[in-house]
Amino acid sequence: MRSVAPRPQSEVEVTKRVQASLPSIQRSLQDLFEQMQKSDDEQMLQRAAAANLVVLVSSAARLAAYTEVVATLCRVHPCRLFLFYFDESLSEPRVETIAQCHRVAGGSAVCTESIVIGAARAHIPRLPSVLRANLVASVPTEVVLSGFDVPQEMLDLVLPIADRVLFSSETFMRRFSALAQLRERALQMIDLQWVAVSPWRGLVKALFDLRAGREVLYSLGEVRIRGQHRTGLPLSAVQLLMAGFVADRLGLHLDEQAEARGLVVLTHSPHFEKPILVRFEDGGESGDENPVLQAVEFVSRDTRSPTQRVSVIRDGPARALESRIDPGPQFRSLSPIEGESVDELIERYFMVGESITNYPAALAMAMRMATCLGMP
Amino acid sequence: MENPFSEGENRVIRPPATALVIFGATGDLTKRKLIPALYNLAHDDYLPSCFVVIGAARTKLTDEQFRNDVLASVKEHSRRPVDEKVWARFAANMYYQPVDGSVADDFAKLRNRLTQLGQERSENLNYLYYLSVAPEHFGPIAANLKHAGLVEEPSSGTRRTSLIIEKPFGHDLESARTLNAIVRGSFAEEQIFRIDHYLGKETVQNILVLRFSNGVFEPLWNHNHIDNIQISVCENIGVGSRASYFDNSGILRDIVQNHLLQMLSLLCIEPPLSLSDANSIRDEKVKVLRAIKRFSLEEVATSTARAQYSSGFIDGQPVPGYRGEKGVRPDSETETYVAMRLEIDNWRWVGVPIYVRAGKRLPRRITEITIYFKKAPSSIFRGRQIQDLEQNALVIQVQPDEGIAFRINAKPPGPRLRVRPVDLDFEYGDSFAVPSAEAYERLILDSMKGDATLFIRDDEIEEAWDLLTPVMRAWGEDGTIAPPLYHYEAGSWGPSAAAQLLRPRGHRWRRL
Repeated sequence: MRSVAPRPQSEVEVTKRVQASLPSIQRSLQDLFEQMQKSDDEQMLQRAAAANLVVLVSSAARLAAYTEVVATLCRVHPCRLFLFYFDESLSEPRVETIAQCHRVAGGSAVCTESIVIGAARAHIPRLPSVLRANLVASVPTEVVLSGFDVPQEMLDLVLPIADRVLFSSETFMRRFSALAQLRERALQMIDLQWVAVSPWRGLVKALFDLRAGREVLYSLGEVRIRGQHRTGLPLSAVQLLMAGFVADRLGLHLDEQAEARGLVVLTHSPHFEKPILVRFEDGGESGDENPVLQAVEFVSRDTRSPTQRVSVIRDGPARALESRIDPGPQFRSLSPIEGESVDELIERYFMVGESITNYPAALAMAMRMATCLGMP
Repeated sequence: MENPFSEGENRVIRPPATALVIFGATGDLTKRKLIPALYNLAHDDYLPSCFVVIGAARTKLTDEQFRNDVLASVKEHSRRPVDEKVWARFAANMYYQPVDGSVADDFAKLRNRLTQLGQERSENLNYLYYLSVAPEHFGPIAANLKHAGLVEEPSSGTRRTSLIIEKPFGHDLESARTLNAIVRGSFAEEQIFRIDHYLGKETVQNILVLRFSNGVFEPLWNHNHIDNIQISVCENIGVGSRASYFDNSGILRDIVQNHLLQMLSLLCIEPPLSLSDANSIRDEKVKVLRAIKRFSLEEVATSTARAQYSSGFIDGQPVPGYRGEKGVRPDSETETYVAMRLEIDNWRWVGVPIYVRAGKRLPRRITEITIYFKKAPSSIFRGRQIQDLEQNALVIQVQPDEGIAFRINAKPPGPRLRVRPVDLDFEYGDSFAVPSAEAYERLILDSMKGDATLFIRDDEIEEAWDLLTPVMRAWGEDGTIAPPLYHYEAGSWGPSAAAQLLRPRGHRWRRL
């Protein structure tokens, strides 16, 4: 089983910030760095230049919620960071440059330079030239989206220069169809909720490596996916993505006969004689927390089958995921739960990495299911 | 000054006693570049022990007024602040002589002034003439210098007299040949120093050191290992005060014909016989220029793209379109952006596309050469096709921050076997802890020493024009087969047509 790599021995040592203007960003960063070198002359400071990270936050109100996300990004992914937020009360773009230096092994420090730009929608045409002029040359540009409500004009300007786009599909749950435009642009999509379901996918895979686990496939009748959801939403992105993954890997598809009854989606496949139900079960509200999966179960329709149920279930008190093959249990195993907050998911992605090979197909299936369920 | 007792180090060889006469002494280039370069040379103690400067122009100025102007230039444009002692020594050797380039009597007065200054110093001064004037004045000034007895034969052995001229070296092949002939009417080719300030940049000179002092690169420096080469000369400024000149030239003549082709020829030369003989390098550069495949008129349409900027934003600030710039014709068809796909048709480079681009009002000022190496033959990394792996790239950054970076693929830390590109970086400022000298400093010093290695010979100029002749013809006279003049928004990276040039070979412009 995978585990989160140990956190690097680093901490924020120095942070400096200054007000700047659009034309003076480069100069401001240079001055900032020189000041920091003077104040830390015993240590070697390095300007991070491995990537550009462009964070788009839909409103000033959401900026505070992104402070920690940005801090985590700076720590685990030294880069040049551009943070754009949109505030209609601004008559002129507001620019601030920030340098955060983290001590790393060996005593040297790596400095992430952040350029924070607040702008009204009317200022958006001015922003691409600023971005182009200040990007670190020829390194990947990664775009981080705060959600579906980032101004479309800004997306149209930024996504063409993006190599990867990082987002949480949970923030798209009120308009899941908005993810379509990311898919259509053939970008490499890094979905933090896909990272969140990664341990679940691994455990499901491990269960079906076992012969007893595979028995259930011969008579599979239902896949149940239980998860938390945020207030006002019927289910969560992790549920949809897990369902999409399962459906894709089993070769299930939704066709004209597909229909949604409440939270049940019917799927058909040429590999199975009868339709297989994918049932989304309500695991309760998550409040402000990132909703998490509670259980994934594969249930046989044949009561005579030697394997009736294959499941991965969250054991909250034990802070573990329990893998089981029933009845019996014929197999039982506990795995510790990995961090599931947005910050922890970011850290896990950048420190451990994530396979996105199956993501596009899983997302496509998840989006079709969402449509079946009547989600916008 | 460097310590002459340093073991194993070459002593600084000061140029011999020299009088530098700057024609166009009240002009912009003199104020912004030449005077600050001279001051910095004085500051670093590189100038000859006996050195005088005579500013020459039509304006009537006294020596004192000229010194005041010079001081203002140094204060505004020098990379070093004014040091009183250095300034006092420097200013004491600055003079001004009113000279109209077309009036023979003025040159007689200039001769008397030079003779007097030499006698006062009991020195046989070499004479170095810097023509910081428009090309139409080159001929009359050179002829008047000759008639006034201010040009010695190279073999005379009395004093060295040399002429520095600035681009543009003609407007096309014919005018370049005419200009060369006019100047050679008064000066021998070995006395003429055609300046291209790009050749004075440390990184450009470093191309030779990089290639010929590192065993690792030269074996790879050919079509077997290099996939493509890209040279970009990007400016974020518009035409500014040069509008009337630029509008009659365009960026092909202003940048490609000289700076860009000079960098290209240096990058692709065969090993010269020697670095101490100016003609060894220049011979090889000419061979490269001669080997670049000439376009047919039809090929111009498929191998070049031209465009003009429209209004947009630079650093978030609104800027007008080219046709709205002061001094530009409102219906101007002059290109402010050019991209070309070139090929060098010789044993070493056959089949390697060389993409060049130059433009104004692009997002940032940057000049860069990138050499992309061929990819590994196959990928052994699960889930990674060979096309997913980045190419190794050697990036030579010429300005604004001179340096070299080499891109390799590496495994990021962590339990997964991942592949990510990283740069091995070298920056002049960081590695040598001293700022690079301005290009003009090096070039003026070399010209005083009589070293023409970093200057352009007449045949280089003519080969460069010859290469561009079909392009200019297709764009101009035979407009029917020319590629259209595209427009690009100021602050963007140019027209999409430029990207199309690279597409047939599956290449992309390096993101700057």
